[in-house]
Amino acid sequence: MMTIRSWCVLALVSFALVGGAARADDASVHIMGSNSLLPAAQRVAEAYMTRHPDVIVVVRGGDSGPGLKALLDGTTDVAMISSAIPAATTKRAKALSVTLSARTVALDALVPIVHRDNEVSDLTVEQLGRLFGGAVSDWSALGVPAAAVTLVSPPAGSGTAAAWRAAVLDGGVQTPKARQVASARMKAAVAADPSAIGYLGLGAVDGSVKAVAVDGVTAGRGTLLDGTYPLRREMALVTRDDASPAVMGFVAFFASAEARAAVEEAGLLPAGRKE
Amino acid sequence: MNRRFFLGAAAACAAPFLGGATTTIDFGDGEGRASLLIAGSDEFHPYAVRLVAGFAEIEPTIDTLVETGGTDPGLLALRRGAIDIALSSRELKPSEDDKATRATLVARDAIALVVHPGNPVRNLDGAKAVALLRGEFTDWSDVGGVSGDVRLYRRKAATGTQKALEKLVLDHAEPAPTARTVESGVEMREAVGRDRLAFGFLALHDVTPAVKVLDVNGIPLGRPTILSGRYPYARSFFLVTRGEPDGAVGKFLSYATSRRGQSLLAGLGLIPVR
Repeated sequence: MMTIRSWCVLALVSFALVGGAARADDASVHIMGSNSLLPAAQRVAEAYMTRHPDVIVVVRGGDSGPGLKALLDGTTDVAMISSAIPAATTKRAKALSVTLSARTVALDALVPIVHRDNEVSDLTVEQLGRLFGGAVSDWSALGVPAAAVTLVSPPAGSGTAAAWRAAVLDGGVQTPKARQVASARMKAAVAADPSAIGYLGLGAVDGSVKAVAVDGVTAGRGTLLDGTYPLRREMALVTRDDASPAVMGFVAFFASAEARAAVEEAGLLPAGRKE
Repeated sequence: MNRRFFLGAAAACAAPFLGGATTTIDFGDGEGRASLLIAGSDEFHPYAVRLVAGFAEIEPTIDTLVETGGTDPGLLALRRGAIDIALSSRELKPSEDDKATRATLVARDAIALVVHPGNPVRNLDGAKAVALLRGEFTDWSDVGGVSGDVRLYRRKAATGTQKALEKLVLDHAEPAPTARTVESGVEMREAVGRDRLAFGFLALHDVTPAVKVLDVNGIPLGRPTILSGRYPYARSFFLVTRGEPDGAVGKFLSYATSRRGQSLLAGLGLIPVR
């Protein structure tokens, strides 16, 4: 009897301790950044909270640049990025004595998109570079009926824009003639203008616009996996070296089968295929 | 702007309404006292007032004033150094989010669209919800339900829940003039729970099984979908500051994100984010 009672008291005490620990301030994870990775992260976060009802995972978009800024000023725990960490960010982190580490969670194709009536169906990386570098400004130079090209691009803080500059312009400067639209409005902007060309991540492309093949290869899961599609990018989660166990637990969850399925459902290819 | 003057003037204006309550507050330049000026979002303001009251209990030597005025003027006043903390009920635009600006998320909130539990409708897409609320659809069969006139319920124009609905769901379009006005969330819940043809809305904390909550665009309402940001009729409340948060600003941010501050906000019906 005595033993049972002692055990009960012990159990109560440990329950209170565990309960207290689980609800401590660090049982929350704030993740923010790339709008291309956002739909995948939202699904993964919901799956994680279903498994761990005591953990709060808050997800916000706002592009890669603002995500990294929030990571450095401490208003987010994880930044989502869809291109490499810019040198300026690494420098700023160093000044703050913070070490950043990135874990690739998904692969994506960058897909040029045009109006559905545009006759163009295949462009080379070099032709795309001439278009977005500003050297070519009329469709006639690319073998389709003459019309002034409308270049549409995501905002400068977007990882999609940074990854495109790296892949298509070899890190060079995009012509200032390109009209910047929010990632969410890219498809509508291209669908509304017969002479427009823009670009998006594979997960975001749908039938409202025409996807253009690059170097003769159509973007898709297969061509992304076998490496034949030339315009690819890695999407990563970035954390600080002082991240809490709750944060690291959530980031590690991205490697689980459940999270990988959620990433696929959002139209991206989970990184690091299981052998 | 002279901060001390602003604080003193605002306190002088408030004093006649507060009566005896202000007599214990010393707005002089008493030694060891600090001041905190907070202003911004009208939506966030009623919650911020409660947060400030909770903060005053643990930090009695910090004089805090919290004012309305809107998110945009609040952010501008913060940038000019006229206030210490801006209240924002939306994400910052890239042009507002400069290097020194920090936006700390303190809570989320959501609006539930509700019907009678016997109504077969389970999901609405956003456009149909708007058409119902504006009175453009008047029969439940217009949205896949059983034929019958839709009876709309609403709250008074000045209430937080009505304002949240008009911003989040209606995108500031006019609601139908035919809606019946109810006095409180509890009354809304009871009215919708009794009326098989009802269409209403509730703040999350007023939801019970007496009503059926509709999915929106196929997304169910719940803590996970609000925190993940997928449920569309949700809003975020931010405390926006500049530079490294230290002194009174740092203490207020710590309080708002602490377990104590978060439970206070949860008690007011918001979703904690820490």
